[in-house]
Amino acid sequence: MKRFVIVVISLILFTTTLWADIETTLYKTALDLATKPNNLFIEINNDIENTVPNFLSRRFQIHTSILWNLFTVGNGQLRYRINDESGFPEVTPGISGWYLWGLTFLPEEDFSAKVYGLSPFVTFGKSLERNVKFFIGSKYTYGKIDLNWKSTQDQDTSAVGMADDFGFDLSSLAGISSVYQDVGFYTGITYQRDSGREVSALIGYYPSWKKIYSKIQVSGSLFDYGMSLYPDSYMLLHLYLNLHINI
Amino acid sequence: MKQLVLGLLISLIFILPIKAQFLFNLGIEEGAIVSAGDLQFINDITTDLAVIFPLADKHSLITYYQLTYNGPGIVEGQEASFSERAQSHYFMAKHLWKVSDKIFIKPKVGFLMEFNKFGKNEEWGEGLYDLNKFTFGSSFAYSDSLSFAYDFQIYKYPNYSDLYTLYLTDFTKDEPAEDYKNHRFSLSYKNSSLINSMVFLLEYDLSLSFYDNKKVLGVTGYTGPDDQKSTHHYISFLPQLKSGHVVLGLNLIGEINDSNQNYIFGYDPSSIQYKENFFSYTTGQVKPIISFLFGKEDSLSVMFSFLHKRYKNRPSQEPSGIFTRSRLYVESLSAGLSYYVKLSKYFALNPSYAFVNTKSNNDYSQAADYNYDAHVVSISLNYTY
Repeated sequence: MKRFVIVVISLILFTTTLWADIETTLYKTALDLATKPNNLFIEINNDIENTVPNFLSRRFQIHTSILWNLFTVGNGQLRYRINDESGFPEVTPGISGWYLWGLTFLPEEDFSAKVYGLSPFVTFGKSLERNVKFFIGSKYTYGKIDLNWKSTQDQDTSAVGMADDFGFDLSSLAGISSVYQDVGFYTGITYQRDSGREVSALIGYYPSWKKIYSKIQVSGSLFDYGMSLYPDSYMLLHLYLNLHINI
Repeated sequence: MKQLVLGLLISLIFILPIKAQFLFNLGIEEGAIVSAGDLQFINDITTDLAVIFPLADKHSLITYYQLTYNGPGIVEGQEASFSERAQSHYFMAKHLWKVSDKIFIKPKVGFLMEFNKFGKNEEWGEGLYDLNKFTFGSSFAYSDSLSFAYDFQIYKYPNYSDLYTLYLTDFTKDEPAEDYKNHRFSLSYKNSSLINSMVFLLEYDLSLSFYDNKKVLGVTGYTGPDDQKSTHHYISFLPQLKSGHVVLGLNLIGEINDSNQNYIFGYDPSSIQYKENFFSYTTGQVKPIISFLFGKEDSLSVMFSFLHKRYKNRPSQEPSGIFTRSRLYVESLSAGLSYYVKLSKYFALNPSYAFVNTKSNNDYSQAADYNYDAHVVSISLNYTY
């Protein structure tokens, strides 16, 4: 019965997304990228990282987001649990990073791009019960977006078509250049079920940007899957699937 | 890097206390509202984090943080870019002193930061009505049933700037500010009793607010020397009967709000319409609930509600906006279903549906809030420890 409820709710979430006018949504996302380029890349960074402590005895973890790799965002994360809990909370430092390599396939004479981000973090974990951990941590998020297209001036601007509706003509842009950095906080709870799977809830906040995000995640022995929620973003809901290897 | 070190230190302060007790809640709600052919999606997030530190035999310290967000939902409509969104952060520290087995004193300090914006492209932190609210106060409780509290509240609107206020104050203020203070006194009583397998819950709250620098509008349209004050009564009575897997409840709620604030319409002094005690009202609500319990903690609830709200001195309006001699009333009837599913020990889902019919004797064409039908569907996920 519970699985049925989950399936029905997932279907509702997907169908409501499909109700939207795809063309308008894509254009708005592109417009968002052009006017606030940092937003999307901060969200990519959040999607690929896993700052939730686990219950495994192994300390070292390599981790990558499968879905963002499919979108040509090469990414990875390394983390290491320094200590086990013995009076002092467990401490897990790590670093995640990504690089948008898909843009390097575009012809160099028309386009140049360098888009990447890095985020070192430290998570403190404390057991509340045998199979429940509370965690809190902080991270530094840095990213650089440098996009330049050289033949923009020759293009027919009417091809964009929707510029009048939104009062902004994307084709008039010669490039996007931006650097972002902020310190974020996150906290949450993770719970290990009898099956061994871990169910986690996380809320995060960047004080300077006043940006909120939250995650609900299920972790197995090899994969993490879940959803990220970014209020005040055109892509409010991100689904993710991550692969991890514990050593 | 300094910020990261500071962030880590703050994190450590939260997690270091070995004997502390943690409370955590993350609630995410996605909703859709269909009204008059319009479909609107909404998104709410609430996070609560509380840490309770035992200090000594009869003393403990509670630290609490709450983050909330309200805004457009999963699918943004064409107009969603211009819809309102808000986030708030509330920090509170409360000292719990157990004077005797039944007497508690609870002094507290609180700080609320609220950010609002009316469109997607507006920056956070620049909202006209962004609010910083400081609270200092204490409550005195007898047992779990009776408590008295006093709070001194300071409201600051850091971005507020309004030519209309300049006009109302006759251009006598150098800086048009909305900042004000409030002395709030409250009394609450709660009681529950069990009689022949029926549970009776009774709750009564009285609060008195005396504002400082929040002026009452005068008949001339300008604010006068008097400050605003208000009285609010709230009473709730809930008898409940559990029989096997069925729980029946009937919640009766009453509310009286009495405020001395007046209201004016219009910008031209020659045509200003002045209404006294515009915000005073009385509310009565009846809410029958039937819940069917399944498994260990799942439940299906069928809820009905009828609410009648009548304003003490606010007249209704004709379609053109002209006031009538009748006092304004609003009636709201709703019926809904709510299904609570416990997915795991700490994780629950709560899909729900409600139909709401609201009507009033206000026919003003621009007062759509008073007369509408709406279908509300929502799904909430809660992770609570």
